[in-house]
Amino acid sequence: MALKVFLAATLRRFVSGYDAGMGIAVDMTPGSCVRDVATRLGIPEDEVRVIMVNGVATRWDARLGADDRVAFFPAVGGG
Amino acid sequence: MESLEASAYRIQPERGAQVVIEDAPLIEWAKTRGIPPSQAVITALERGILPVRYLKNRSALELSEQLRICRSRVLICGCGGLGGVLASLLGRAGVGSLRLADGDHFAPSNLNRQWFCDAESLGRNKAEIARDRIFKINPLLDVAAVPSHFGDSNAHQILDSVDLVLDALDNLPSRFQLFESARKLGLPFIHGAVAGWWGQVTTFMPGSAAHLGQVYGEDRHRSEAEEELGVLGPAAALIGSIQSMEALRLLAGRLPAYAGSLLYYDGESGEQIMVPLS
Repeated sequence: MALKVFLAATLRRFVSGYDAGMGIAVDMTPGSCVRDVATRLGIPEDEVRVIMVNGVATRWDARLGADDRVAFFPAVGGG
Repeated sequence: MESLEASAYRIQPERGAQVVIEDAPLIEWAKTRGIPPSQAVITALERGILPVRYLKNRSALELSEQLRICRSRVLICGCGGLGGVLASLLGRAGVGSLRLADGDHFAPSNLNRQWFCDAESLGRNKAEIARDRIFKINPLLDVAAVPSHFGDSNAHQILDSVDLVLDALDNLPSRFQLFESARKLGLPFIHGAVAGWWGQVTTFMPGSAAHLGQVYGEDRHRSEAEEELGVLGPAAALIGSIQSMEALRLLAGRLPAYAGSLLYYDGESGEQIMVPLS
């Protein structure tokens, strides 16, 4: 199933050539969860603080459906 | 001067009459009594006299809430991008006592976002400049500068006799130290942080099970990748403003908006996300 994945801030360094406007198209097996997407893209779980699917905050074990839009956000620390 | 009332006058804002007083007679009256202006403000408010500089707060705040705010003592730890905004907004709102702590000096790379950094303040200590600027903005306040970095050696002194802690620091080890110290003292702690287009805010109330570790995980250092993002001026101004709003809610005696939740703001997409901390 085709998904669209968006990365915020420092998470973009894990995907070379990341396009902030387009995100990344990822093809996952049906039944995959959010964690599987992060694993596929090589994004360390401990760098992710907020996960959203279709604009709603969710968790690592959330099951995904075709055409879902998944977004990962890190914590930031500057002042 | 015989009395505060002699210098006060009645005006008719939209929500009914209000007796007000300007800064100069209030400061003069404080001098004749040998009390600081901040104390004179409290006396005036107790008598129903509002410093006219707070008149436009009046539709949003009850007089009793303005009085609570004027009696409040707040620590702003960090006087850079977030702290400059916090000090400006809370000083204008009338927070009676502000303690401003920062060991850094203004550098040219601060000019894009730090409100008190300008051609004149370059090279000077951030806390001392912030104190001077806030005193010009609002001479009715008690403003103190602590020109040193927060750490175990001065935690007790910096946190002494405050009601609320605002985290406007720029590094994780100090944020965690400040958080732990505030928690030990049972103080509400409003966290704000920014990088690039992004920012976040959350509030830790005394006795809550929520912990700063839920925001940062095991991280105690900002990554080089994040440092490279820098900070956009509007990101710092926005997150500092949201922290200020939360501070005014708490100081007025209202409920916090961000206790147990992390507000994450993505300035690139314009999205605001509220994430439960669990």
